[in-house]
Amino acid sequence: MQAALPRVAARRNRHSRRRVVIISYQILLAVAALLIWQVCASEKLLDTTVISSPGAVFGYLFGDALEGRELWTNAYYTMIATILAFGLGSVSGIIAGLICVQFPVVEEVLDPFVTLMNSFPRIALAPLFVVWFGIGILSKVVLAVSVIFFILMLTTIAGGRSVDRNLIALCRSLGAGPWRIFRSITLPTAAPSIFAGLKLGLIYSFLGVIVGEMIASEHGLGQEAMKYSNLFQMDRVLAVLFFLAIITTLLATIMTVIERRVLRWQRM
Amino acid sequence: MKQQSAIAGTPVPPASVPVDAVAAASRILTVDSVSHEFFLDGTGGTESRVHALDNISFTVERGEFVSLVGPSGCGKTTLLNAIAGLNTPSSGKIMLAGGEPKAGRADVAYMFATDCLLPWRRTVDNVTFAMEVRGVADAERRERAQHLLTRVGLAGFEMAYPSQLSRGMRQRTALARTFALNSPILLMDEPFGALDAQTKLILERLLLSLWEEGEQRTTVLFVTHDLHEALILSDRVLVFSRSPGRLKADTRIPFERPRDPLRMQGTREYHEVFSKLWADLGAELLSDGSPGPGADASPP
Repeated sequence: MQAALPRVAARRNRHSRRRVVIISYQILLAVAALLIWQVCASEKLLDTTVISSPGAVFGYLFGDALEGRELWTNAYYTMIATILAFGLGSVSGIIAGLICVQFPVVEEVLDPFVTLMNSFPRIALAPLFVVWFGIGILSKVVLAVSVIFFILMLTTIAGGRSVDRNLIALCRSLGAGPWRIFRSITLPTAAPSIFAGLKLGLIYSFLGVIVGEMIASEHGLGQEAMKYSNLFQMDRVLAVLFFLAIITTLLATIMTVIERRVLRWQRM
Repeated sequence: MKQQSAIAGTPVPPASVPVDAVAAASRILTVDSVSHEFFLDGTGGTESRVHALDNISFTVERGEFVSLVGPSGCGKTTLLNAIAGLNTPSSGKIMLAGGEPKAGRADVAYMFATDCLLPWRRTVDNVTFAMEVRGVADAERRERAQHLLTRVGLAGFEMAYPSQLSRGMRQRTALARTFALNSPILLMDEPFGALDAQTKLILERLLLSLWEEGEQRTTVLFVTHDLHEALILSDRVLVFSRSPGRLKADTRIPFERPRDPLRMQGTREYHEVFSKLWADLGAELLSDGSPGPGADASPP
């Protein structure tokens, strides 16, 4: 035990030094790409009316956009819809998946329908949802939920299937009931896969909401990007998209932190 | 504890239950003419019948340590699982401590060949897990787990995850989990089968000391294919024949307790008993009777 500790510390140390090197290269790569873009735009190698330039994009983003109210208001509407869709879609998807894991009959019955619905290009339903649910928050939430529900359902089923028979045998020998087995074995077994689904689901619920807003919406970043795109203000479109990317990355990072906490045992 | 008789090697004819009124009082397990067969899907839609156990009868006294030894595929694990209530034999009757076998009985603890540790639980929480399922109160769970982890030499590893432990340490944890249950009946299915020879010897010693230290000795049924292991641990060794499994010999092991497995190996008595048992088992291993399905039912 005592001997194991310095070894772990040394490994962590080596690991963190490696991280620093990798992050340095990543920053270098991003800066180089932006520089090339800027130089090409300045030298008129690119048509700036169509693809703008980093200077113009960040100039707008850190100038008018962040100081004005439009971006923040729209971001607020998009975030509310995303969180709502993510919550509803993932919770219902996980529950549906767990039901299928616990009662394989249900899964067998539903299988053809799930396969059909999952292979269906649900994003293409966006115009339909707008007609059905209007241009408020509901249509985009429904769209995003329809996308991520199946992601979560299928990853949950995949995770629940990998249950170790030996652990079930142990529980049976101890006299554990189905609920105890579910709680103590099935759920923790499925957890890594569920988290992978959640991370994917978060990105996709964002995507669903943005697409919904682009089709038709009162508020939202998708609607804002669409508006500037129609006005040929590409610096503003890109600024909005960049802002979106930052939010997504932030949410994904939060997700990873939670995952690392819950799945601590996996990294040992 | 009952004094061990010094008469080694009294094989009893299989399929006979001694009817002894004195013994009946302390009898904890009766296996009466148990047979088991199951069906295997063959090629081309055929089904073949596998005769796993053939008319097994024996009894076990309270506090006895009995090993079931036999070549692989002789049905010894099937029998243990039947006693545990994890499967039901095709015919015959098993009585365990005055009741029918049933999975999850509070007086029975089962230890598997694999450690069956929950990878997401720390060592101490793996030990408490079994007690949790059995409904032991939280404070007592912690106390018993700590005591047993210390006993199996894992003090200091309470917060480690199974993936951080060696195989031997993982099986120690499983041993602690099993003994923490305080069940009067212990069923073990090749618990040390996957360990290297040295680790195995150390864990056998540990098992013996855990077993010998209880005030009321646990009754142990221990399945193994390792004759040496059976010999150093047991009061009695039941040798099973190759498929279909029949009881070939029931031998009392005369060594004094407490025993030290490390010392026993060198003694003359050990070698005498070993060669006697090996004669029974070796014949089974070398017999070219195909262990496959439909083996004929000629008498042993």
